[in-house]
Amino acid sequence: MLVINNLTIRLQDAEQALLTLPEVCVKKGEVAVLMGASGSGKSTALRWLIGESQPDFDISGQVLLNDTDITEFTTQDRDIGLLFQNVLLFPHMTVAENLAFALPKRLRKAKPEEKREHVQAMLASMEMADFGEVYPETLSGGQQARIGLARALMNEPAALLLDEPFSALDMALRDSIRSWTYKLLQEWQVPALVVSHDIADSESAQQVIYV
Amino acid sequence: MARALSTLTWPWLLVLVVPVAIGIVLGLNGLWRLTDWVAFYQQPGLFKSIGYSLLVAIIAPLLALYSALLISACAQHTGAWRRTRQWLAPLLSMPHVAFAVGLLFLLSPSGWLVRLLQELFSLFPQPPVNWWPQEKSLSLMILVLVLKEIPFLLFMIAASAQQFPQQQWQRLAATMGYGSYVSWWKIMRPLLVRQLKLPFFAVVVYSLAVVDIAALVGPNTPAPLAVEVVNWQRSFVPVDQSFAAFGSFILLVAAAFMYALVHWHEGWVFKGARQQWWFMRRPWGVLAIGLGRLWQPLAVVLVIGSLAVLISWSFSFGWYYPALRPDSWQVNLWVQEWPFLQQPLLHSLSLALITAVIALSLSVLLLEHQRKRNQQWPDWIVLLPLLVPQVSLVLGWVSLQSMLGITPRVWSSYLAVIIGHIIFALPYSYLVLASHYRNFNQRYMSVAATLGYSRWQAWWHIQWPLLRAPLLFSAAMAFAVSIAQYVPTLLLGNGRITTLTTETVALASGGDRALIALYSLLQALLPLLIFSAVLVAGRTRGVNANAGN
Repeated sequence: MLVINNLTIRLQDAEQALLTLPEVCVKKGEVAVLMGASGSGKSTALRWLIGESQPDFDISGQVLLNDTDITEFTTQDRDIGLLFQNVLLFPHMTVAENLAFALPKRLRKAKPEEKREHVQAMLASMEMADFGEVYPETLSGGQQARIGLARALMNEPAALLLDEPFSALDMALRDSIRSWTYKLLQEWQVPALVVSHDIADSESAQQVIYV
Repeated sequence: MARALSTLTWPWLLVLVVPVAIGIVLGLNGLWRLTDWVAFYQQPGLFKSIGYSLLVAIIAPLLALYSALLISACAQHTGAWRRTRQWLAPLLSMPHVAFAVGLLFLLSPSGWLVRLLQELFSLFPQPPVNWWPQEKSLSLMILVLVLKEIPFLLFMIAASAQQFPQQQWQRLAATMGYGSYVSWWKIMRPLLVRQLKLPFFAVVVYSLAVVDIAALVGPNTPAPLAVEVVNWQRSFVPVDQSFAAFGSFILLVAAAFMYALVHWHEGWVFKGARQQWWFMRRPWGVLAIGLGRLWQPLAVVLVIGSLAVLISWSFSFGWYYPALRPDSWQVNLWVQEWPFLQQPLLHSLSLALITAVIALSLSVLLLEHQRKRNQQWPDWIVLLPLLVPQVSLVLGWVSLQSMLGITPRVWSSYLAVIIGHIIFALPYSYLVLASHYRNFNQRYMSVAATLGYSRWQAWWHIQWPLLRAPLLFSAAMAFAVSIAQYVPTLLLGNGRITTLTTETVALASGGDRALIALYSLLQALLPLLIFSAVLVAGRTRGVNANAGN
């Protein structure tokens, strides 16, 4: 369960808060959507949630993940996954290498065959078993979105943050990828916080938070 | 600006500004002696020498700038422009001295071109007296500088132009009835001249104070001022040291004057942006476009021709005018000279490798520091070593060495030369890397961090492979700059550190073409080999040139 307590974001030296969130609680398998206009501080909130320092802002608040206070944890120790609008698959790695790169720490020193099995299983679950050896630039937008989510889930995160995850997709693809993503998050029982300004992203979510 | 001058900026400025300031102050320590001033004033050919320096510093950079702008205007968004950008690396890598020697052997009255004309048309049974360019002339010096600075300015134009939506602007201008050449000239040129102000000034200062090229192909009765300054500095007559300081001071004043001119030029270009230039009108416009497009094949011919003539001379035996090829080809010179070549070769290689590694590391550190603080330093901070006449700066360091009572030993001279090379190579290394490093999408690193990787692990797995080409290119650029350094090696090394460059310039006065060609060839080959290796090693599968951006 992902809990955010009393989050306040201010521009440095500004009196008025840019964004305030008294309490947000996202249960396992739930999708919460943080809605707001551009410049409302929602992306800043997301960067704070993954633990990135932001010198231009004064930010206070607390993040609990499965009852552990992770507010002071570094990004790599937080166990929170991240998915951006343009997916950002590493272009110099094949699809399989992208997924292998995201294996959880306990599996990174496993035998190559074992790692390959995990990667292949994930590809199969995404119905992309034959795409392991191709480079990301050859994938379509929808395929990239699927591999992006697969990579995030491969790491077995305790929570997932999605920054405008569907806005780069064309309209025809957006609805189907959205439903598929939300369904998969429910199956994997991962609490997910989606940052978006698209009202359609909130329609099938369990929670909507306006900022 | 105040924010940009952060904790690390101050030490950086101290490293650069303090030596410049000490150099100026110590260099001028004899200025209060009126008798020395009078003796200096009475030096034969002094005003001619100053005049040469000023002429070169005005004409060569302007010709190079407008040629580079014309080439960019003509070749934009075409296959030729992409090919031009690919050719910039080997062109930039060729040391000035090797290029000058190659050009001299190609174009001088007894060069390959005249021999070819004699062979084909029997036009010149003797080397022509009224030929252009003449050996050891101001015009040949200007030609070498123009041809060598065009690639640098093209490189800076390519980097600066990315900051503007030039394709959209040109589409907009096309809807108003402007052709692409005219609209580029009217819209992009003024903006680029403003963006390129400091790199252009660096070219001006380089042309004003260049020593090696001036000594090789420039006039010598008298020589341009920077050459005279080095000669005075190396003289054993005590009063000549004061003359060197005076000359150095005059170069600094001239540089300040040139900055005023560059500033005025920028304003003039901006005010005149809407004016119709004569070469935009037909038929001149068509001719200008043709000339602009001619540059690429011309540059290729000149570089390959220079290398070919150097190779030919180094293996030649008995090659007399008007023969197009030598009597015979031999490796004797290479074998004979090898024992004498080893030390300069070793010095050149070791200095360049150390310089490349340190300059690249410093560039990455400086850019990483700015990224962490969300800052972008003004260009002048990094370009500072290039904005002061090199002779004046190096003379300051030499004076500082003697003031501190440092006895020149081999190791201390070597260390001083390394520091000098790093200071002059760093701006190039940094400039090559900066735009790629800043454009790198840091979200890749965020993704890697959320997958449990430390910053260093993420750098190694993600940033290094994606930025491998610009990182290696940056190191190669520092390597090439180090190979080409003459004044810092000569003066900071107290004559103890011989490199291929110092040997080539020293040999140039002897007139043994085969020997000069041998040293120049090696000087040109080292950076060329490094750049070729970088082109191969810099490729990353699945990544095109801008994928990391």
